[in-house]
Amino acid sequence: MKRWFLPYLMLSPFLILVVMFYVIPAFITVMLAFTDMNYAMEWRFAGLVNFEKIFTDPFLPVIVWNTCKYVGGTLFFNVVFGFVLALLSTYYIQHEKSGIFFRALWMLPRISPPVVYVLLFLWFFAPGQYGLLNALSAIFLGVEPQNWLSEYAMLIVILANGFVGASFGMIIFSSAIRAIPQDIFRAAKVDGATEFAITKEIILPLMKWPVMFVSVWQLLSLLTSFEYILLLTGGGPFLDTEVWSLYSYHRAFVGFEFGYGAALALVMVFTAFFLTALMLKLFDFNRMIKSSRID
Amino acid sequence: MLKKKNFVFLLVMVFSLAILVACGDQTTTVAPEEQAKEIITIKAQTAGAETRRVDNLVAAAEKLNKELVAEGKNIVVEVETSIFDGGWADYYRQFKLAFRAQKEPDIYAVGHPNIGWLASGGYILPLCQLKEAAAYQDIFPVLWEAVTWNDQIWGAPLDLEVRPVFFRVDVLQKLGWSEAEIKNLPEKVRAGAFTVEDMTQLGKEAQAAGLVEWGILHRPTDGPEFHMMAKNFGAQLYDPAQDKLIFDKPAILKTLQYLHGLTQNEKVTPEAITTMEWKQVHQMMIDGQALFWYGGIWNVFNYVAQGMPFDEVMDKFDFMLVPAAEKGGNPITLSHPFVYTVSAQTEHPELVTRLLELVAAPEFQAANVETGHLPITKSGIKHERVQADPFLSTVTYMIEYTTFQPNHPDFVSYGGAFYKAIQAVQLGRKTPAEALDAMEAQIKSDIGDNIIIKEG
Amino acid sequence: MNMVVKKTPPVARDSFLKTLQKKWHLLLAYLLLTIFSLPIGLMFLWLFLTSISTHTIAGVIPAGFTLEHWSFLWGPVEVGGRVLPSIWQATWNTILFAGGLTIFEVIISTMAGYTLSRMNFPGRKLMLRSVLILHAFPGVLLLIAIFYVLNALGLIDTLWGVMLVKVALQIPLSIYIIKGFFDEVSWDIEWAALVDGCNRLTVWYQVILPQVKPGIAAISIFSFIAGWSEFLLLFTFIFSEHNNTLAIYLLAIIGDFRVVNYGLLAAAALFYIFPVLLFFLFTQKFLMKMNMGGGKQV
Repeated sequence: MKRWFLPYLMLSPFLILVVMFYVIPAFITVMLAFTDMNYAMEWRFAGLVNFEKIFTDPFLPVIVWNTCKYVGGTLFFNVVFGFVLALLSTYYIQHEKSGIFFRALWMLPRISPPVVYVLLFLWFFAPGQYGLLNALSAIFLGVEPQNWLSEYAMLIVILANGFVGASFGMIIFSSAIRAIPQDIFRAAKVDGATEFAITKEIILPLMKWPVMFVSVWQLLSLLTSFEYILLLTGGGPFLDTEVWSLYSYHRAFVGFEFGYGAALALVMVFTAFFLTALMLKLFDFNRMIKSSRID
Repeated sequence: MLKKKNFVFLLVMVFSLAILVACGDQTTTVAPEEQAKEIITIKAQTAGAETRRVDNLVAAAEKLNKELVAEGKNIVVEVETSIFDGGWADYYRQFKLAFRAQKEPDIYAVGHPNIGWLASGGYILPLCQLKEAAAYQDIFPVLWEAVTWNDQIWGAPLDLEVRPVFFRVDVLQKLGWSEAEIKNLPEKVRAGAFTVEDMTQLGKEAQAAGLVEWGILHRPTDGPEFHMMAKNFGAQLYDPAQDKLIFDKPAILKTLQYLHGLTQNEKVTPEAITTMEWKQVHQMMIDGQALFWYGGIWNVFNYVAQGMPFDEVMDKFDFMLVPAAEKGGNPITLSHPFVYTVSAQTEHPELVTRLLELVAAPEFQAANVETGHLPITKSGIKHERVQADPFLSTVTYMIEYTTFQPNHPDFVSYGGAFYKAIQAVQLGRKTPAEALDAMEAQIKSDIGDNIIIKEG
Repeated sequence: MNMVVKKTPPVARDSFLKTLQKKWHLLLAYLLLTIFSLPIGLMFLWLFLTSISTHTIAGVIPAGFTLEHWSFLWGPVEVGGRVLPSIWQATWNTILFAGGLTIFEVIISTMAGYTLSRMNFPGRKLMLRSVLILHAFPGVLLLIAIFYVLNALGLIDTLWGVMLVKVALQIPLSIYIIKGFFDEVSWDIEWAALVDGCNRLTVWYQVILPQVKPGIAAISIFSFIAGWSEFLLLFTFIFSEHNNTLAIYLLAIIGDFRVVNYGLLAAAALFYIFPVLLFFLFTQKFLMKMNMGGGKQV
């Protein structure tokens, strides 16, 4: 009895929170998905109507495609940029202060409140001659003002999220690179290996696990977060940047189809569970959790 | 023993939660001892820059309190105002959630089409007695239409606007128009001699002459002006007898063709207009970069706030009704009056109603001119503040031509589908016919059978 | 002798080339990093300059000096004809929210993290799995369901209520981070303390916690920044103006139909961002030490 009393006592605040804000809401969402709750917020059982609607919704193909583009594009940007930044600031620039300076700079987008960060992007890409990018390109290149936000909406959304996300990969890759014993590099150099060869033959192969970890972790975050898109483009223009989670939010809180919104959210919940299960399989789970050496 | 300890821990958690709750909730008003009067707080909420929508209520409460003193009642009414920041959908969401939590305002100021969902969702009280109230006797009768749903009145209109087309006088001058011709344009529109097509061509002419960058601009976000255009092309939006929305396909197609033409064929409107910001669009009009603007009378107030002196606005702009779709047809405009609605959960329905009766008095109505809005009553229009306003007095005639959007709970969904179609054709992603099909598919998916589909 | 003479010059040339090559790489590395980082630097620099300049040249380059945009710090601020409430109430609310969040987060996650890292009990594996699953759980998508929970608890429209939600959404990540730090603490310390007669609770509090200070710092930073920046939850669950935080206050300055005053907006945005920047600068060395799952697989 005592064996599990103390652990559970120490876990109880966590468990209470989980019950209050994960288990119960999940349960409510499942129930909601089977109602046709609308603006009047009445609970009325409606069977599978919402799930049927998912299959007949004329916008869903576009939204699924957008979600793929958004998640894939951002992930690619995050991993590639995260790695390049980590490599440059940790391996190539051995000078610690400079490395920290650049890494801290890249943390800026992550620590900036989304409301402010998005504002900067909106200013930077604003259409017309008063947009920062338009004004700069007019001065230096003499180019006509472009409607960046309508022409390249998805690209800008990916960039905005990418700048935030790259720092995550950067930190993890940096610590992974630093964990490589310096002797290996020295030995390689004595053997006459070029820097490029060292990067390709030594560092890259060792990045397999960190890259996979970052990818899966961020994949899950990207699938379920929509705050930056909501603030940046609101899903527009037209449906160009509307992704699944944002669509669920819009259906619930703009169209006030709470039932349908819940059904859409539920699909996302199951997708996330499936991917997590996959992640646990990929990463030797038992090694990650090491068992206790007391008791 | 174990269970007990667990239980104690739970108790501690619950207790600390309770403390947190108590700390978070410090807003209860306490009546000052010396007055020994019961203070009744009435909460009123609005959104946007027009704070007088709730400030008027504060002023009206003073009047109410005097009446209450005269009646020998021992109560004092205090109006607590709040202003919401964010989009309209967010404003509606907050009211719904606050209502469920019983934290909603007693008086909620919204655009009239929201009456549909507010009333059918059980959020607000019917206010039929207002029709008998003295202050509302000389209201423009057409306004009752805007607050009626299901044969009952659900809101008190609080201000009125019309949505004219603005045009740059200086551009027409440079095009060689005589002073008299320019002065006469609104009259020509009123007579149906100048059509929407003429407007497009004139815009094109000004563009070709290099006087402006764009011929015609319209709002950059979803909103009533698009339904106004549809109505101008003959769309019927609502059947009050059946309380059903109508999807008028031929008229909507015409509207989409018009909007598509503006950006894609005639190129008098920037195709990305729906991605721009208000400030930017206003700035283009202020800088004289466009000839026509599908605006609203309060935009004058926006231009002033954006740095254009009032006299200059009057000098550079003139205003006309939305030209008829065909020669000899009727021009129109649209009003989207803001209305006070009363929460169904209010504890003081009588006091709130009395407050709403008082707030329609001409002196409060006249305050509407501060933000470029019109009073709702004829006596309000006659008030010296309105008469002294060189701008508003010239557009009051438009009230005769005004129309409204329907008050129906599903109108939000319908409007959303329409706006998607508009964006698609303006950006050149779809042809008007394709967009119409997509719109129909979305309407069927979102509203189902609760809409009358009117084929050609 | 001859051999040495013959061999020396190539070696010297070789090392010279190598240093050149190395320097060249270094230069390229700096150049690339600078180019990549330029947009970020420019944006924030522009934000700062806009907040203290009177006008712009060619629409973009700030010019002239003024502190007028900062006047909201000591006086009332008017936006589009409307006088906004003082920014200090919103600031205080934000401090309260972020600070409270950090405290809850640290207490709960150190307790749970230690337990998961160093105790054996039935259900441990399940619990660890669930921490990972919870991270993937799209909490923000369940806003409407969370509304019902908060409403039932009577915590709607209170900063404390939203704080609890935010703690819950953040906690899986915090536990995951702090668990990594607990895993690294030497078992010898714990054994020694246990032998000395301490119980697990005292060991946790007096012996182990001091060992994971960098971890606690990392969670604190993450929580504080997350709380300081929170927008959507507050925007959804807070109704009263007196409970508004800085993110919502900024919305009031931006407005929808109103005139955007870029100078004021930039100044207010900087005011909002400044505390996290400061906080970050002083603590970033802890963040960079963070050790998460991926790093260990090397």
